[in-house]
Amino acid sequence: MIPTSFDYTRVDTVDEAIDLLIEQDGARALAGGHSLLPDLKLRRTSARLLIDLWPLRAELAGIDERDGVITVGALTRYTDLERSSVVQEHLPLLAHAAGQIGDTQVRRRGTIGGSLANAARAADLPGVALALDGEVVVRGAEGERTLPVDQLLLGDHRTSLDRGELITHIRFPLRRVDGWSYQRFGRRTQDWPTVAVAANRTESGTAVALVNLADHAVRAASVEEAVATGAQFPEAARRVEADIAPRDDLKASAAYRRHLAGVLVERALQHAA
Amino acid sequence: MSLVGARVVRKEDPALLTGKGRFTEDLAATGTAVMRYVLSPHAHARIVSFATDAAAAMPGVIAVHTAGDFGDYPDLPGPEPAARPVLARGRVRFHGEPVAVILARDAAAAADAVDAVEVTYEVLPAHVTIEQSLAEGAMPIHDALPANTLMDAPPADDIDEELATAPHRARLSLVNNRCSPAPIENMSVIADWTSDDLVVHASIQAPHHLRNYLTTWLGIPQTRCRIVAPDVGGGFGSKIQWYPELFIAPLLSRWHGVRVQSMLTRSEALALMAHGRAQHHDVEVGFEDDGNITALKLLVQQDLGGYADVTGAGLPVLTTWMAAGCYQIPHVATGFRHVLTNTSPVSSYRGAGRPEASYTIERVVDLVADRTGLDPAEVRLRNFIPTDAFPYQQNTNEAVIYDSGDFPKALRTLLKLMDYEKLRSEQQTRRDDPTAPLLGIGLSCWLEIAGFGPNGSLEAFGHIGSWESINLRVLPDGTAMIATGSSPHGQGHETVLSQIAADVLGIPYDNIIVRHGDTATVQQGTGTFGSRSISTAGVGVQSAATSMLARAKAIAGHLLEASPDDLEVVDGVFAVRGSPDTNISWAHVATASFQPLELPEGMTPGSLEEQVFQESPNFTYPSGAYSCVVEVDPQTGAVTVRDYFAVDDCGTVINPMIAEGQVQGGIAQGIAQALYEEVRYDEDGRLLTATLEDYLVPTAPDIPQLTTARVNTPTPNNSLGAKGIGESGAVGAPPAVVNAVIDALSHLGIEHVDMPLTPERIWSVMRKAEATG
Amino acid sequence: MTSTQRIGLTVNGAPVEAEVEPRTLLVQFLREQLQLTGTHVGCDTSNCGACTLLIDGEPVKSCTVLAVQAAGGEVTTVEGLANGSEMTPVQEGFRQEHGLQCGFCTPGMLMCSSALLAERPDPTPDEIRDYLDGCMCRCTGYQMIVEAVSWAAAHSTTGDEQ
Repeated sequence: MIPTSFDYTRVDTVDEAIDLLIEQDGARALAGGHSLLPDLKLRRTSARLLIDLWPLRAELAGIDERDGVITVGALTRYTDLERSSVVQEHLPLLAHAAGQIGDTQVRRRGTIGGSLANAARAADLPGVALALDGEVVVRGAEGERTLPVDQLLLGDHRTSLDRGELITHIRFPLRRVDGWSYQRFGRRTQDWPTVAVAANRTESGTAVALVNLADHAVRAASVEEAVATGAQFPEAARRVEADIAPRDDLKASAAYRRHLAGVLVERALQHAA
Repeated sequence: MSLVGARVVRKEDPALLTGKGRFTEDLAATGTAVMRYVLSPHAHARIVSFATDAAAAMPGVIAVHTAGDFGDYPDLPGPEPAARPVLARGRVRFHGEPVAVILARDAAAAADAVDAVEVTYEVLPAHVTIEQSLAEGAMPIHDALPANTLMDAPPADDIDEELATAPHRARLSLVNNRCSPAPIENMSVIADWTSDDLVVHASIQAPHHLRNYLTTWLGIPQTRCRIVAPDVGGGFGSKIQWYPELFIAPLLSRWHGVRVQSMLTRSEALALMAHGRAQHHDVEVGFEDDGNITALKLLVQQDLGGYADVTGAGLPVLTTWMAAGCYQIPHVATGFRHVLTNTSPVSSYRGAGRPEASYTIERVVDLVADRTGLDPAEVRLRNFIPTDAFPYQQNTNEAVIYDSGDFPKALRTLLKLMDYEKLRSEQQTRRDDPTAPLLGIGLSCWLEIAGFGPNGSLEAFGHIGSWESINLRVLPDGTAMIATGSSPHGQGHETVLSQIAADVLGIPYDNIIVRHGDTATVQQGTGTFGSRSISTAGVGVQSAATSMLARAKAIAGHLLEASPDDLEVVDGVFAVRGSPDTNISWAHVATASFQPLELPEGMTPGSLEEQVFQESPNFTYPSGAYSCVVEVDPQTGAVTVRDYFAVDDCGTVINPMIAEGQVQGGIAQGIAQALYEEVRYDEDGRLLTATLEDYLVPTAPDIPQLTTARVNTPTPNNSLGAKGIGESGAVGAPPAVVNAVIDALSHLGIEHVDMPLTPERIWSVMRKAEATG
Repeated sequence: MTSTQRIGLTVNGAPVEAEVEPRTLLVQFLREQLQLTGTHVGCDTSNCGACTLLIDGEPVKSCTVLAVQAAGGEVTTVEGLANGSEMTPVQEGFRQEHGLQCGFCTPGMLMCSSALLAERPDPTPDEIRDYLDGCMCRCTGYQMIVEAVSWAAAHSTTGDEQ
């Protein structure tokens, strides 16, 4: 219930946060805190310094559509995504999925950048961002770089972010959405998804991403290829087998997850059609 | 106008709605020291050594204690030789068992010090399941036992012949899943023994019961001990056990001269507060072509966990008593066995032994319907105890005499409420469409044993009596105070007891208050559990008020110079019937009751006080008929509860709003047991469901809207006619849900799936059925 | 041991200044330092919602927010709902519809329900259930809580729910 002791500071600039993360051993960035604080309370992890990014919301919270790109600030909360008319109109998959995460209170603290940087295997937004061909803008001591979400995610709670790097923005290409679906399967409403499948159909084809079916969210490349080459949905859905490496946990066995993958991919394809 | 039966809003609510409730943890004044346990990471191990010096030297730490420091004190009360020491003594028997305790100036220091205690263990093989504990050669968990069976009570009657000669027989093995009662307030204790008198505030259901045991254990006079249960944040049967902190906190306060607080975290509570259910049933039924059940044999294996709790040991007794449910079955045989395992101790959880019984008999009746091809409603109607047969001696045990009921009426009310015929035809249509979700309709005609008040009934569970005590007194201004030994935690005693008293006394409802939960201000008490409060405390209030009213009328008659028999009392005023102008207020009568010169001959001051230790001649048997309507996704196995209908019979209802709340809350817990909740361990006996992220207490969108109705067969066993309602929902709901799901799947040849009915379990049995079908 | 930090925030309309250890949770700060014990703790993992209160009008689980994080914010707890003895429609709704039994989860339910009605004055029963998905109640089975919130919606004038 009570974390081990740590220091706390707020930062006013991204660079200040970056400097602290590099200089201070045991420094952790704190966004909404709904993954980090429970882990600290249960003493599953520890920190020597928490760097509160919340004051950066002035700079890093918000949704902007310009030149064919929708840019979302990393500290934009789930509830802001859910309610944003820009997101609702151009990224309906994201608006919908953001409204399914956790519960009402969690959605008022959790941020899209926090979710991507935390990279929990069962988290909704990494998968959704993958399906939307999202890329993250990352700033570090060496400057800024941009990388697609599939290059960000390396494993459960593992990313390609270096020490001292922070996600500042998430960018999505503006495309005409012809259909989308988010098939989220869990036990209780507030639970992490046991399995989720995101599908987004645009002028560039049908993108399908999978949540909690591998160490990190992945695109269902085999399914997408089958759809692109005209396979029927049931047939395309069967291909998902090649895209996943599910595991057993308290909520479901790998075998059941494998089964759900097929069912939910087919449903997602149908709904997005 | 009668208040009994009226929908009266609660007296309890304004404080609780404005943040003025006072729960135990709210009473931890600044300067209260904090105790925290060091918990065993193993389910079964020998403790080789402790290294506590580093922890003891940390800032803010007052002391570190291990079992040796409590060597002068006996084990906690419990069935020998499987009773529990306050801290693990040389050996741990379940994951999370406390092995040491830290006392520190504040919670943060205590938490830090816990991490600094080093304990060396020699890990022993863990028996996580009943099967493992009973396996040939399994190491006894308690050395004084030759094996892991604490008590074996095989069936007294041999009905194998009756089963063998029945035209049909069927068997089922069922697991009643281990659940955590999980009140939202975790167990919380504050002990102050810094002066001569020990004062303990604790989140408990039975303060006097604790006083009786704690003082004996400490070897102090009861006059020197005050136990208070302030506002209590839910109990559901999990706050009447002898948790070590109730015993340790007082000693730490005494030893170190500080006020001591213990507040379990949720993870600790999920391991340390008693679990419930955890039974395995093997049941065999004999029946005829027409669905008549002729013989029933039930064998119960009760998982007790690592230590035996007295209530836990009693659970299978109640299960066997209630094994035959609402039915007239000529031959019934039951037996049970207590099995120790390396898991958290098991004790009462809402219904305590009766949900397990109703679950199995209602599954069995559905199995008979399935095998005979008869409608499940019809099979029930054919086997019900006839309405004219009450009182009915059930042939499970001579103590079981059903008081009243009308099972056919309850079922018919239900079938009409839900439009049963229409649902059945919808179900048929659905089955013809392979893409549609499967529709399942489940019935549960349940009854339970309640009103724990007959002599001897609670003594068996370690209480000193089975009565409930009431003190009723009228103060000089005509207001009334009721002190009850039944100690509520959400049931609305302040409201319903006031309703009962107001009706009898004619004192306005708002002028009555109810005190409870404090051994210093409440004469004696037993506690709130087992759906007993109305039939003991409620009846006690009625009885006390009736006696007192006669004396009040004598005083009023004397003052009015009228015959007491001619008086009536309405809205706080005594008046002569027919001449309302000849009247006198309750306040005037009450004042006079303390003034010798105003009293009639032979009456002494203070006569408007009445004390009752209310016993019950026998148990009560609330009953009902529930139905759950589910949809099963044939591809994923996900179950959605579409509708839930409930018809309850708890006899006389004192406050329909409160009764409804009890029913709904119980049903939600029953649905949760059936669909969501299960305590799980890994193969080494480590608790996997150690947070509310993993132990699946449902929230609002996970629980359906309920449609409820009521029938009323008052119990003849008490003057109110009330049977009790606290546990009904939890007793009746699980079989309704499971029967619905099995009904949805029965055309695939599926006869049973164990709770909780997770999507994966359903998918898995469907897949197996398709493979073999 | 880390040093304490000075924070300033508004609690139920009143400015508060205090010294806190950085690891102090907002709920601990309110309960232990300000003696505002109406906000309860039911779990460690932000599942149960008993500790829900409002920060700047939005429902937040105060067991998963540090007191230092709340600095500069406007915190409203259950103690700040009623105006004297005058309960809000949400509080009154819970009383009229029996939306509480033991009362332990109730402060969180009240705060979340108040936020709902501020966002959406006339929610459907399903919307109420969905909005309360972060609050556990073990007593009521939720139906009467839903009815309590509906009662409050029906008995709120626009001015009551700002």
